Amino acid sequence: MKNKTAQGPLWVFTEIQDHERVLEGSLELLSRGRELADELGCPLCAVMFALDADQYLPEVKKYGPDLILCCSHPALKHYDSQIFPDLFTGLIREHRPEIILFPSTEAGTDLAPRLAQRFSTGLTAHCTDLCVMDSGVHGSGLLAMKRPAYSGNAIATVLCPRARPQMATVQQGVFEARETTGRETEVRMVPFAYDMTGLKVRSMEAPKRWDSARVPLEQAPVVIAGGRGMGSKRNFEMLRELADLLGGEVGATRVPVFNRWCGEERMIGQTGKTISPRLYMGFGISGQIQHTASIIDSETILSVNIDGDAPIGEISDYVIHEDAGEFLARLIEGLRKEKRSL
Amino acid sequence: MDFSLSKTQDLVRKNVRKFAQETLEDWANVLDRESRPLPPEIVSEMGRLNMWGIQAPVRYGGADLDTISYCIVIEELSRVSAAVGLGVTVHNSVCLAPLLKFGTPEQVERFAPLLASGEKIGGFTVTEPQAGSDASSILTTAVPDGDHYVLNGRKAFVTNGGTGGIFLVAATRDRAKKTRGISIFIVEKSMPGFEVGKIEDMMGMRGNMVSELVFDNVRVPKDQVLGKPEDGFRISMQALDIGRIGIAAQALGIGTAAFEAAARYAAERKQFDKPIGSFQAVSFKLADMKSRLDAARFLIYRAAWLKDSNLPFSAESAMCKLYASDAAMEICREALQIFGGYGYVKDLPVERFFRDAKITEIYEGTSEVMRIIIGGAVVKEFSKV
Amino acid sequence: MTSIAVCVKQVPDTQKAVFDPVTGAIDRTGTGNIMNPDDLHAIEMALFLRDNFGGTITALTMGPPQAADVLCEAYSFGVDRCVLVSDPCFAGSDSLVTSRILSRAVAHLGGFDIVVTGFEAIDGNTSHVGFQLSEFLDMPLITRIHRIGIEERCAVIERLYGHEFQKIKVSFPVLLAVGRNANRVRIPRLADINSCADRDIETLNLSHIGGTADEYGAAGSPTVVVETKTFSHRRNREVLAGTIDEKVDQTIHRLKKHGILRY
Repeated sequence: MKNKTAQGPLWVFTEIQDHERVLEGSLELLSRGRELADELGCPLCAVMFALDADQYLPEVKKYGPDLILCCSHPALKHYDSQIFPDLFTGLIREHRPEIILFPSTEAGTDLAPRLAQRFSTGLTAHCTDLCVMDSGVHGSGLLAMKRPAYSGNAIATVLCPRARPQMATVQQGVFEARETTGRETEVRMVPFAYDMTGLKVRSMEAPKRWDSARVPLEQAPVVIAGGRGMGSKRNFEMLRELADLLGGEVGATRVPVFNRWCGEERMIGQTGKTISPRLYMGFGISGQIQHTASIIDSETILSVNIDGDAPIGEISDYVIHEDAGEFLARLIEGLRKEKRSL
Repeated sequence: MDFSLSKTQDLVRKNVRKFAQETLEDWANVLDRESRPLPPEIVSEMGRLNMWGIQAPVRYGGADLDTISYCIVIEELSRVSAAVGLGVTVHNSVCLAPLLKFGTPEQVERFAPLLASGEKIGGFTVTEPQAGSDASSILTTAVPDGDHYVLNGRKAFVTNGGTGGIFLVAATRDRAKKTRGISIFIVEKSMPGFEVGKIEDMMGMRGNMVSELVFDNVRVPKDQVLGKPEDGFRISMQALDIGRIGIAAQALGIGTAAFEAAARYAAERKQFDKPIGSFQAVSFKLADMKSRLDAARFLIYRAAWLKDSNLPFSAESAMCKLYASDAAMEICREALQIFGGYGYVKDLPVERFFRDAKITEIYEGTSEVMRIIIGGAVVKEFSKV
Repeated sequence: MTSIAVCVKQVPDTQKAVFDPVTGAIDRTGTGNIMNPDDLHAIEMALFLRDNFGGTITALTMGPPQAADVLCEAYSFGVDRCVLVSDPCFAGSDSLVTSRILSRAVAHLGGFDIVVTGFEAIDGNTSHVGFQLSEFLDMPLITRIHRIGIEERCAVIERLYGHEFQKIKVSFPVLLAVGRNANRVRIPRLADINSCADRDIETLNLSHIGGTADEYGAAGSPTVVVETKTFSHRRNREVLAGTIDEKVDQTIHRLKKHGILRY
């Protein structure tokens, strides 16, 4: 423990997902936050607002916070972009945290910039690494926040030297969630006092569960593409299930289109469409240039092919050597299980 | 001298490219394979975007753009679908443009809005089965009868023939007067006796309904003669000077598409563990293709600039058409060679580019006719001394 | 009459942006600058509202003088008025300061019933500005809009919120952040492209929006970029090993890591 100048605590926004479990990303941040807090010599605090928040306390304690600030109220069942920032603002004024970490979720990316504005402080978005940095110019014991810059061509290291708290939203999955033992955790319940009449957004009818809307292939954030290696229309149909699970669309190479496994509007390639989704998954696609040239700008490319030397591997971030149909079936099963457990 | 495009020209390219990619790309192969025209909703969307009145005044529904912008529109449309580019350039440059230039105020007020909006597609026809490069030998006759001329005859290879609603038609009032006997008539498809003949089954440009037109006692009011009756041939030649810049831009678009496809393929296709583009045999081809493309582009832009500056551009227009069409053919041939077997199959558009490019050496004056025009201008210039 | 503002941004075009490896600042003098893609959808949203419910559209951008190019483009889409917010002391502003400048420009122009922004910019990918404008202007921010209408100075919106589809009503003024799934951007008419370069662009600087130079630019920005490291475009080609079930687990883990599997 280096015991630097840091006075205030390190906070982690401990988000509850679908009002039934602690977000994995928050647990990851608590684990990394624990290490950072030890290095800085400051306490680690989990801040949690939820409906029936008490039920999550045992789970959160496992990740080693010194303090849990907990507010429990039915109005906190869903994230609200007025209530959550207002409650947080009050707590920040009271506790003066040195650092606040948020998962890069819909709620975290709404809450963090609002708080940064209210405290005129800096916020670094979608970080992929956090560490403590001593800078000759800017001072010691600072939070160094690393994030992709320039369309992922570079990694920028960002500091917030003077303003407080130092704030970051962090991509999920970059840190590992690890339970710790032998820590005493104090729990402080925060009373819910909020004037609900000031809410600006009025609901007109009961919300409905959302079924994913169909978007054009070029605009889909996730594209699940199948090729000759899918072997059959039946296998190809499974791509649609995976696309539904990931909120994406199905694309194809020439062969499935010619075999009428899907319509021509789904064809990717020189005579079809060019796409740049956040994630492209190719199943049973060898990687003819006509196809690959049209997917090269995808943010992440994952390919599944029985042939380990298929050219698509060259441009893939992740390569899986398996029979495409079989792997697809298992992946769908795995994702279903994952979603059920949420 | 400034080689950069203006902000407007940049935006024209960017947006027409986006339109072509979003809307035409899916259709280009279908039009070619099925030899069918664009669906009407795309034609009218192109109308909303002013593509049927690129240089027409805004009050008629046009965009009033300069000629370089015009070339960019044709180039970008043709880069995705040469057949669509053809329909647009013929409509704009040899139907609407001569109407605006030579038409009476009444003719312009009546026909320009219909054409510029794309409500009616326009065409222009001199060629007949026996009269191609020798335009003065046309047989279609126009005989005065009261307030009308009565047209009889048969026109061949009429671009937009199957889809057009308004045609500028060359016919002879008196064969003995040769070129001075030729007049241009504004003929509407709705006129009795007007008939669309055979739609040609062509090697390329299959998305344009090039056809025969048959005139069987078609009565055209005398106030639908374009310009002075004896000026028909001169009007035709001037229309074609403008039209040729558009055809050159079309060739440039086809050549660009073939070049880009080949360059991408050469970078990705591996043989002997190396991208084929790293072999000199391929990279030298690409070097020649790129140089020809740029040379064609600047010849075209110069002719366009001369036209906008109200300077003579007849020889320069012929030069850019001669060079760009030959370059397009050469580039498509080499692109196909780079693609090898993949270039020869219909799954990829390279063979379509090849088929489409060929006609640019033929229509709106063959390469041979271009050389007659350019050669004539050179000899004339040097015999002045 | 509904007054609509749309905030747009000029960003470097390609994935090969030129930037200073020491300061991390982007060199905008290069030729490859474009309108931020989400902002085109913001303009489309503004046009949709004006075309269907009436109103006027003012496009705003903060940036160096050459950022006027994106305003020119905004004119080609048919916006009514364009304002460039530019001052040497604005250079190097982070998202907080950018929001401060835009909010003061909006206030200087007298406020608007609806302010539309793109959801995020491709040069920073922070998506902070919408939320921070919401705070500065005290206007509720609505995102992930599926359908929108205007009824008696209220926006009636169907939106996605978490996993839910909500129908909500918000009184003016309201702020909308629009992403690429919100609509399909129209192609401008050639006639409007032809005239857009000749139209007037108003300019606001420090003296118009008020405040002091030290509140703006790099000086006013709480964050500093201390290092920027580039890396190549070559993909990782990480081969997932193990049994098929292990590979499935690893795949699911990667989907979470890349934020595809969100809850």
